[in-house]
Amino acid sequence: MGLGNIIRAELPLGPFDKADFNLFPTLVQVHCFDNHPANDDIVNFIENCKNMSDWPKDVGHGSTSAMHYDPVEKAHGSTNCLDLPEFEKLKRDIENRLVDYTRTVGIAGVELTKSWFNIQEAEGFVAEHRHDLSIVSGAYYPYVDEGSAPIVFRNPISGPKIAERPERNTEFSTDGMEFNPRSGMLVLFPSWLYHRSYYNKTKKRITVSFNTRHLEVCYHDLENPHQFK
Amino acid sequence: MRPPEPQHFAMFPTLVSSWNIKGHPCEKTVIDMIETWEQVGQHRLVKGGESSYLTGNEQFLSDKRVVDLWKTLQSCCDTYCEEAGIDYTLISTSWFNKMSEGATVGAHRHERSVISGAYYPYIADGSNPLVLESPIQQLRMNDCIIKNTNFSTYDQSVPIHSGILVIFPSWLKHYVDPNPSEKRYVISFNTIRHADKGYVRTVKDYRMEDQNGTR
Repeated sequence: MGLGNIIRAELPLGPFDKADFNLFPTLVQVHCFDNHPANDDIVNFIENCKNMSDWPKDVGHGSTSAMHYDPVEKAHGSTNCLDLPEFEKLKRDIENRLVDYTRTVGIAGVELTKSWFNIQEAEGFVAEHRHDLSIVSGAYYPYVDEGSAPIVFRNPISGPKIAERPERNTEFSTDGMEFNPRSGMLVLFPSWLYHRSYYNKTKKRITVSFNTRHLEVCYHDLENPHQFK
Repeated sequence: MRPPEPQHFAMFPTLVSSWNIKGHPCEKTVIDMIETWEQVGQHRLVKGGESSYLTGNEQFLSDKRVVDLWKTLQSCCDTYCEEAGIDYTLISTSWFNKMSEGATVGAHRHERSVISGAYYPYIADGSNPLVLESPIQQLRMNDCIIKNTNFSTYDQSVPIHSGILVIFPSWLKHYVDPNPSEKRYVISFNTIRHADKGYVRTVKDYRMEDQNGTR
């Protein structure tokens, strides 16, 4: 309370009868990389990758590079696929879009930490999850068959709505929102936002997923530095 | 070549609606009632002010002198529910707070209510706004916020002046910072689902009583 970092909603100028405010929204950004020059190489790399494992049954159904045990690093999922040469151009483009996302939200810049890819075929799915320890996460679809399963975000404020009963689906009452993927689409979202993918009905749905962490914060850039004391 | 602009989806917003009913036929009556009401006292949330909220089952808006105000507020509740896409509600309890200079209202929500409202029949110029707290604040433990935006803000103030009605979900935490003006009157109310009205004896739908000729 009283930190001075309050946004003021503005009433319409002059006489008015009613004004609506859509407060505290969650930003999900969709970028389109149609005909991305690296796409063919990326899809080719992923389809021929040998270091794939099945998701555990409670996590989903499909194959992923995230669970691969690296005998050199002696760890699971140590491969950061966006650091591979085939992904170099895509990585740069994702980093640029992350700048746009963080500026729009008003949070400090981020850098990629971990990235992996998944292949879902018919009946593939990913159970609901969030990306702990990350700031902004993303899903890039280098190739998806038309009609592939959507990514579905759960309404983060459904908990306190226990006292009300939805009468019809609106942006205020909905339990979730889904996005149908298409080849070349990048979706950026806050890592705390629970999401999943439905059962896939197509033959191929390829995803490159990634997490981020904050770059070192420059306190001179803060608009309200006192809030971090 | 510039990349195409991203599509921004401002998802899962919380609806807060504001009406301007300044000059309502009951305005003067309701101000007189507030100024002469005897059942007022201290409330733990209203520091430096007085409140008619004493038992938790106050029915200030059920007074027959302000039934037209009740109907207006109820109509606004109906509109809010339609726009939000939730079941209709019915005003259940109502009370008022009188605040003078320096008075505050601590952060709180209205449990056992669906939507709530705050109607300001009179506030002096310069009175403090109603401040609403972000319901997603607790999810953002990792975020380093460097700029206040509609997406990052933890608090959003809704400006008020005499005659403003604000309706918001009852689960949304809200508060008032120390008030700098000499007089700030607010009538607050809670609601229940309309379908539940049979379970609460004290709740009446005055529109139905008009139709039945029982008032």
